[in-house]
Amino acid sequence: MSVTIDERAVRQPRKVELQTWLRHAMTAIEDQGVAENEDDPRATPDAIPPERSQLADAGILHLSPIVGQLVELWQEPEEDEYGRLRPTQHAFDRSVDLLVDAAIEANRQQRRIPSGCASTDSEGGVRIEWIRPTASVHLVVPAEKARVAYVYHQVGNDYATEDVTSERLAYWLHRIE
Amino acid sequence: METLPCSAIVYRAISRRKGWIDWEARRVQPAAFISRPPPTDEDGLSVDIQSPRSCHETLNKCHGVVSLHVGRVRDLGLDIVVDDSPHANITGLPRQEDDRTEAEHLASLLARQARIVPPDQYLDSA
Repeated sequence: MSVTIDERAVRQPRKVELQTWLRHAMTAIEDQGVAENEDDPRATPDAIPPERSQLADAGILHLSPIVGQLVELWQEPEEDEYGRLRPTQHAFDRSVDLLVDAAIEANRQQRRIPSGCASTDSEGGVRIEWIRPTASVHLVVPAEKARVAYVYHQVGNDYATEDVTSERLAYWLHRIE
Repeated sequence: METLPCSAIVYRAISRRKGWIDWEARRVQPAAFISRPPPTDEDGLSVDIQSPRSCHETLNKCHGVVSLHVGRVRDLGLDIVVDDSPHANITGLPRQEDDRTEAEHLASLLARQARIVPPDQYLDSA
């Protein structure tokens, strides 16, 4: 008897779950590689797609504390006295994407994304702030896709904002190290 | 309208448990000084001119109180205007929608000026 599964009935994983799965998968791949090589040293490992290889090499586990803050915000009540507390799906996803891509970018230069302080604005947009004694970087991701995300950077007396890309975020985080 | 002397201290309530104060670093974050979109914060960012306790009582859930020196706020080109004592507003802050660079910069400068008030100054001892 054939079984038909209606895909609409299957709950789609959230970004958080995907990130967790990704971490487990990367660990499993590494462990499996070691185990397979131990079993048969002549075995040739399967080719790993470049994008997966980049992720594995980026060592994004160091992002855990900052992504963890976003996950905590995700688990908060939807609203508080100040406004919306929980990030919107768009703001959450875009923030995580930017952080992961910036980590990959930084890794190419043997660097890591430093830990920052995450919060939401009153509409569910995400802010991540990196504060140093004479420098700072703010990543601002609005609640809605229609509004542009930007990065504020201040080093000494110079400051500006620009529309964010993962490359520019990585660059400015490097500047304040 | 009451004008505050530059030597006065004002207090801002911390509305958010996460992200407004980095408790590990004991540092106030710029997020605490970003204006909300209209119609909220139309007159500026709320502060209390009376005391940390008075400030703390303005919110049902207050997660901390920070202090600002009025003279130093004015040095930034901003002001503090009393509208319904002990309530006052920090005025002159642009919104992100109007000038995102200055909104972030001034929020950053205010955060660097702000000092965390020890909870024993506004909480009853057990």
